[in-house]
Amino acid sequence: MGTVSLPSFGSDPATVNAANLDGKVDPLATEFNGSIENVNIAAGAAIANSKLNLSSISQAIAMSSKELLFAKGADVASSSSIALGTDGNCFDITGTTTIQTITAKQAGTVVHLHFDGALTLTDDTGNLELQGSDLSVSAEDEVVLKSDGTNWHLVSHSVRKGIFEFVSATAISNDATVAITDLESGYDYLFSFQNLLPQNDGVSLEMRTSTDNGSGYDEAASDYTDGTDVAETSLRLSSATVGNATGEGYSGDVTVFNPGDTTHTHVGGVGIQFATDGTVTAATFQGKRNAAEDVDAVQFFFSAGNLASGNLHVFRRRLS
Amino acid sequence: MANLVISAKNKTVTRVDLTPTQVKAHEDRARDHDIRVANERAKVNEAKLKKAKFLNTLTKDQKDGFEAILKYGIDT
Repeated sequence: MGTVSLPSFGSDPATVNAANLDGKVDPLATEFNGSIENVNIAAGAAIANSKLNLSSISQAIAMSSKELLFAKGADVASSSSIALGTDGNCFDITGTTTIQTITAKQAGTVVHLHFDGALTLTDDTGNLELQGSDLSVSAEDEVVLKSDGTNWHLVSHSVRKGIFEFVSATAISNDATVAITDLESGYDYLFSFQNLLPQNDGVSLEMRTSTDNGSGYDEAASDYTDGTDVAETSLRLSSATVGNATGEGYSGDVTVFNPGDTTHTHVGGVGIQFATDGTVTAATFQGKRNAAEDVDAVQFFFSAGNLASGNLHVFRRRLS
Repeated sequence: MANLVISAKNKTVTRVDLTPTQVKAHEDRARDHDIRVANERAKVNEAKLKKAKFLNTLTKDQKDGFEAILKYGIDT
């Protein structure tokens, strides 16, 4: 009990009766209830959940070296007006129906929403205050909202528009080709090669596009325009002198601009190439697919032999 | 021999063995590369010959002026 101070009991009464007993016990109970501290609570003690109500607390809740565990509530189906449960602060929103209103919660409440499908949150029609414009979310997006008791205010939207987000990192090891499939509409893609070494000496890095997710790649005589010609079977990204000795090879960034759009897919970038004689030059390149197509896969390869070694990092940038 | 396939959506990486058709295309590509390099080398050699023939027609002053243009541009 350590910190609980015993009160003054006064002199012993001549007779032990209820009144006298109360007079001795009550001050002790009052003192104990008023002075209970952490050290007075047994390590195994549990607070009955039916008694745990923090609504009257008017001071900061402080912790050290512990985490605050939030709960995920039941999924909520999207509709013009939705109500979030009281079973958590994190919710999955299912479906693709536009949302205008979310039933209000106590001012200061913060909720984290994860969207399973693409939909629109409408600004200022119901009680959503989304910084002046409707918010289009995609599947896997995260949105944080804060309630003022009536309206919900947008705190953050996880999608990082305008900057490249990381997709993958892969080590290349004696591969005939490297293909990146499942390219989605509405994104630019950046393919960054590091220390790419060809199997054969004196070759060029090439690229082709696909509209069937890599089942086949366009390779007809006039399918591409690049810095070499307007009628090529592939896009040439380097000169035909990339060396295969240790320390030679190619490093560079290849940007494919919104390949999913049904236009002539443009490609550009810059790299450095170490030639067969050990010299180094800049490899700027530009080109396009000579047809308006929704490209959904690209393929890289050397003009002869395999891609012996190196690394490929893939990034993408959302456009809207 | 395999093709490396990366899914930009699912972020999966797989290696798929080449089909016989792809193996042949891989070999054809190497052959086309050799032909292309040989053709480009022939064009370069032809250009070198034309350059040498042209330079031989110039006087020393003309050669000096030509080299100055190559080095500093025509507007200097």
